[in-house]
Amino acid sequence: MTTDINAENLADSPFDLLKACIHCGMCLSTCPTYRVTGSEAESPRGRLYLMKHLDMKHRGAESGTQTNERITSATGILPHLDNCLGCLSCETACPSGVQYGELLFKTRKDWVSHPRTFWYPLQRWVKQLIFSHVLTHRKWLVSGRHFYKLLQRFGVFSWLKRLTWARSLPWVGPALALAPVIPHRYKPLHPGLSFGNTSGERVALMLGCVMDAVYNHVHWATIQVLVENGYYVYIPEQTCCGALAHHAGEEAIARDLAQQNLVSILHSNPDWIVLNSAGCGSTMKEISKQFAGDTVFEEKAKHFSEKVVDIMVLLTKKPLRPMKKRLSMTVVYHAACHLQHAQKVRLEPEAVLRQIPGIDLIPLSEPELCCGSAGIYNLEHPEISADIMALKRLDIIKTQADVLVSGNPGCLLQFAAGLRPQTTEEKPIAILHPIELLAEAYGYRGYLPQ
Amino acid sequence: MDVLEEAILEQFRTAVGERFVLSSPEERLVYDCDGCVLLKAIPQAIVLPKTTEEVSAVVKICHTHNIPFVARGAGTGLSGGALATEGGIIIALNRMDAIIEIDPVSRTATVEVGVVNAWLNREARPYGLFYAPDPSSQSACTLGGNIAENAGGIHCLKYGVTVDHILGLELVLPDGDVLWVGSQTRRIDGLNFLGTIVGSEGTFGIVTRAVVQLLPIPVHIHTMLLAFDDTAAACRCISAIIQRGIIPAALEFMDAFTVNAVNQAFSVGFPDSAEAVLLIELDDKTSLGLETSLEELLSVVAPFKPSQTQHAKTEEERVQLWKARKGAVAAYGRYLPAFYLHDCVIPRRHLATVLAQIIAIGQRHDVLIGNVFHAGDGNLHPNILFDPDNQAMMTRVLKAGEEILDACLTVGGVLSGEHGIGIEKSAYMSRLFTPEDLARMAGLKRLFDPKNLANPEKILPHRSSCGENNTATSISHPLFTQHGAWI
Repeated sequence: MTTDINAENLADSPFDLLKACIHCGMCLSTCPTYRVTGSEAESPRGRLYLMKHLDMKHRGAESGTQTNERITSATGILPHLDNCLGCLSCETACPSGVQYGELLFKTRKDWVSHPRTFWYPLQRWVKQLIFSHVLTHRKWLVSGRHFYKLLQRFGVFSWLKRLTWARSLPWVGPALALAPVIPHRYKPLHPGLSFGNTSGERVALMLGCVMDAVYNHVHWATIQVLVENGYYVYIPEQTCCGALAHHAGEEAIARDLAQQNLVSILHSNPDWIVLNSAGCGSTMKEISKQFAGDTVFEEKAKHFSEKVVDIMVLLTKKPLRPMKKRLSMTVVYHAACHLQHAQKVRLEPEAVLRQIPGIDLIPLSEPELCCGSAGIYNLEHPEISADIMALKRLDIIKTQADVLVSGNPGCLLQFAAGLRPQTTEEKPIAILHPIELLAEAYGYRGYLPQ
Repeated sequence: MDVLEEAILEQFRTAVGERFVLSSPEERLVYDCDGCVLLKAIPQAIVLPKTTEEVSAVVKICHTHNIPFVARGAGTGLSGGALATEGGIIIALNRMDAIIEIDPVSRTATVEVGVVNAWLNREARPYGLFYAPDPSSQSACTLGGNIAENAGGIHCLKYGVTVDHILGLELVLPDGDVLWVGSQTRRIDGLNFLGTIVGSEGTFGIVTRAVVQLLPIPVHIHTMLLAFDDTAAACRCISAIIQRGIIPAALEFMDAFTVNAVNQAFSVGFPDSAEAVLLIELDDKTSLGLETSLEELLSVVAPFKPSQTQHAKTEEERVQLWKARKGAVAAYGRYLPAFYLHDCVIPRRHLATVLAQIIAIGQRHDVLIGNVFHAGDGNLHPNILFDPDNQAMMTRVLKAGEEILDACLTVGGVLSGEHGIGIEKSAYMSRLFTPEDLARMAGLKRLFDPKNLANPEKILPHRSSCGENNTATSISHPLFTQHGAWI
């Protein structure tokens, strides 16, 4: 029997990737937005179907589906694609190997300038401004952090939260609901700093935006654990990873940022480019896709992608040095979607956590489920995000664990707000980055809550 | 067909809430087909109730205004059963996803029908129990859909199909009344409608809750893979196992093409030089019992000279084998974007001859056919792959499908083992039944649904050219001429 037709032959253009979907529906039950809305238009299969129709409209294809094309419109289709978290749990579930993420981000890019609502152009302009001018300026982010702390100290946020009108503002309301309590410790990190013995493998640490502004101590924990294990860690010249821009379809911004990082980080000649943020990590790892076919950067981007590694994966590359301190606690691990689904990193984080003396790792019933954070999704789609968090919360609360760990700042923020005890009987749960537990086990202090 | 009028939509919104009535063109479009992409029909609206009371209220509105309604779960069905071919609305039950109770003492569970099959198993596992029917789509399909289609699955050879595991049902009748059928025990007083409703594909009303039986998870399991260089030898081997009276928990067949697809999708490393692969699982309460039946099985198998025998050594290996088997049909997506799947069950002694005919039919019409099926039951699954954009290929595919069906019916087979008749196979019902048989079935349906609103036009062949027919197809085939569906 002939078997010479395969997916590669089908994929002449990105949209031919759509042909890999056979409409079996195996992705439905894993999709968080389908779970909470009940609508197949908010499921991966439904969205692929809509993308196909969008593509056909775009190409003006004449086929047996003209009737359907007449009744649907881009303005009607795009909100369903915008409602996608991009968690990619459907890629994990898909037996046909549909590259859903590729298709989604390509469609978002192609249609990013198409106005869905009256306010869309303004919203887009604000987002572009943030992506290209705020997240890229470390000084602004650090000043922002200090200003935020100041407002927090004077109780501005708790006061604002009491105002109904403030809570109902788009972006501001959901941001208030999230408003994290930022720890006092902040030890600035900047390009040029280095740690450990120069004879060790060279690790370039990427700082990210939220990770450094809110969870700066996680970087210190990362450095401590890496140095304990004989690595030489340094901070290279860098800018924002561009993940948020990429996911929003703002490819021009994302590419520009990627190019800057490519040049400056590779220039520093690293053995590894390490990230402790799953979202940034997946974008950096896929940099080779962004520059595929580029005459100048293709090779460099491939080289770059090969060096990118999540901190928990790097720690499995060689045996860990023994940890001194015993941490007697029950821990539940939340796998960030950009680790488990996008980067396909599934076993390593738990394998590392199990090596910490005294830790009892409790499994979740639905480890594939997103927490609803998804970058800035929780600000843009607060209702769907909250419904997803409620599902996740049930699963976590029933474990009665002391600590929840997750390797992504978006998830950490989402959990900090979403897992606050709702009744007095409910046991509070500490929310940490996995590397903090390791740092603590290596004898560094101050990562565990009092 | 156009969207329903605003006044009626408003009534639905009052019944289930604003957010849960879908009526935009884009939302309706995605409900125009299920797992069977051959047939399409756009519903006039989709309603997503959360409770039995809401379902009843929605059905009452339909009854008052004579609006046909079609129940839908995850839309993984393979016979077009969840399509609104007669217009009207789809009542999607996926939001009714509560596992109400698991009773480990009586070994039963009470569930809402939107619960995904695999979720019930996940929740039952801590009690050492499982729900036996395990269709390949179990990670996504709902129990409601399983009940509607009387779904089978890999382990149904030993444990039986859905109807054997349903003790009681809550049914919303087509006039909105709510009825309980069956009981919480294994026995039923009075007339037993249970067997009629399970497998009725939503034509008697909408099942909203069910009491299902759970079984203890078998402690001792052995799974193995046998590779054969000759398809006929593999088929004869299946017949010999059945003849000997050994009942494996599962006995599955895959042809070379399927093995190839599965290897690509899951990197399981099935022997890719083999012409046919059998996956066999034995289970028993005691290790001694397991060893005895394994020995017996191997002695039956030996004369057929399998080229390779692999035994799953760990639980992970076993899970991986079944994952690959269950994903096989979807793995065909790596070759062509759609498949047309038949579901005939034939007397098992004819397996070798019918399979040879299927392969010949595929070659004659120059179409790719993947065979992966429940060999122990004689339940064939020839998957004819196609590209919906290729009209010439479509004609060949449909012709091949018809010939396969003929080959199966000739040896005394039936149309469907587990996927249901739906709209896709209803055209063939008159080949299997006399007009009198069909009239009796229609009479029973009328008893439950005098207005013919509950999933009309499914199962039983109906008058010609009704339904939506916006784009006439040039393909001459009972599927298209009879129901006027388009591709």
